[in-house]
Amino acid sequence: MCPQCQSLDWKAIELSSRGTLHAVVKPVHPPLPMFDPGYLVALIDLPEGIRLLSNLCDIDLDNARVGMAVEVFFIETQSGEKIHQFRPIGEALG
Amino acid sequence: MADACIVGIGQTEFSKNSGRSELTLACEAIRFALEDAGLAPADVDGMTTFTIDNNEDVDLVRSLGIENLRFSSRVPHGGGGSTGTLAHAMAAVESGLANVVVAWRAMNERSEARFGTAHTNANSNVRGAGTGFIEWSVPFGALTPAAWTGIQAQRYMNRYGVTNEDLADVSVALRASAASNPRAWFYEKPITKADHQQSRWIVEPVFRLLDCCQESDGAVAFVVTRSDRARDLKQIPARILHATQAVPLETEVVTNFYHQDLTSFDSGKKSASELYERTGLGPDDFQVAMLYDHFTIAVYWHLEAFGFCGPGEAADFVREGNIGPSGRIPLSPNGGLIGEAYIHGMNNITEAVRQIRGTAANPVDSVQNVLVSSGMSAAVLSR
Repeated sequence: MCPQCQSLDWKAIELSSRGTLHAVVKPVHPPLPMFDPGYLVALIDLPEGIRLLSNLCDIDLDNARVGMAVEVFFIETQSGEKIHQFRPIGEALG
Repeated sequence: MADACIVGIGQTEFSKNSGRSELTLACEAIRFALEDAGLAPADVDGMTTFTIDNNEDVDLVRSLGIENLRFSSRVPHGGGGSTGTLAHAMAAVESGLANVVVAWRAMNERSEARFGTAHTNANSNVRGAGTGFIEWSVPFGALTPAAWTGIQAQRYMNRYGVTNEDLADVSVALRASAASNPRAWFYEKPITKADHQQSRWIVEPVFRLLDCCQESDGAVAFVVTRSDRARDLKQIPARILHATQAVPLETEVVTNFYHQDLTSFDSGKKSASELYERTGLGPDDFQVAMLYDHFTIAVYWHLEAFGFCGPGEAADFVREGNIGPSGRIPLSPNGGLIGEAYIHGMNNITEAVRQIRGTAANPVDSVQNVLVSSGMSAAVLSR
């Protein structure tokens, strides 16, 4: 239910695929066999007002900045499902 | 004004391997709490615990020899709800639903099911357990309480320029208190800031090993009744001036990522305004604060939410010695969940009672009011 208007009228909409980095950490211990060491867990704010927990890829922790622009891509899990991932875009790559 | 009192406290030893069942641990702690009060199992007619405690009330009724429970409840939200047991017990005895309520928490949380380990089953936290729903975290490798709390911590630390080295001050202070508390697992084992900084990363750049609370085996129980009954019992009663739970909009338990400003501790603020309004007390009226320290940074969040300092000021407030034994607000003189044990917050409630009685290992002078908060519930206990 929508917490603002209590409506149950749902529909799917296409999102912009862009977002900004809200927070980021590098889980170190315990090591997890299904994740490469150094993987980053991030909260991503989407301009549509949604916040997602995801992974921030193609950058290391020292260069990741809260507020940086990111874009979505998708990878396949071991069980054949797809999950979202994010990577920096634009100047943030430098 | 409120009328409910804690009249008895009990516990087992705090260890890493109790060597006995959680049912045995619960029975021992409850028996000690009743003996401490000068009551018998037959006097008990109410019980409350956590939704995630593995013991059933029917097993405890049978094992302890309780004649009849007229009131039985469970509080959600994991350790965040621990102080909520006080709200339930208070409501029961003041309404007359029960005369004597026992609250308990018993766990082999180190030797059996470790909380701190990686939770890889997305559905391991079943609906109705009153804790987090981790399906949205597991696919991304956020599998531990440290990772879940850490991501919220990173947002706070980034905003206010707080470093992991700052957090060391909390850990050092709590371990110093534990070092002179014989009940504490870390009795006679203080740490230095260098020890903290040399401990291994758990979640970079926020938590090292010494930012994390313990994983413990043990049980804690306490007994609540009304003040008219408390006068005839053995101990100085600890009056429950007020107790409250807090579940603000957009809250999740531990995986608490979705309210607008993650640097603002919403449930703590709701608890604070409720307690301050109902009791007429404010941050300057407490001699001791028992603040839930599952991770060091939670102490910062509590200090700010309850108005001991302003937003973003907690690191400086702690660095200046304000949470020490003779500081402005002495923090968890038992050593807290980091130094004494992690009995899911309940050992901080029994310490509050000891401070009011004057029987604590590290007694604070002239204690009148103690603030106890576990994040999603909080209470004021008074002499």
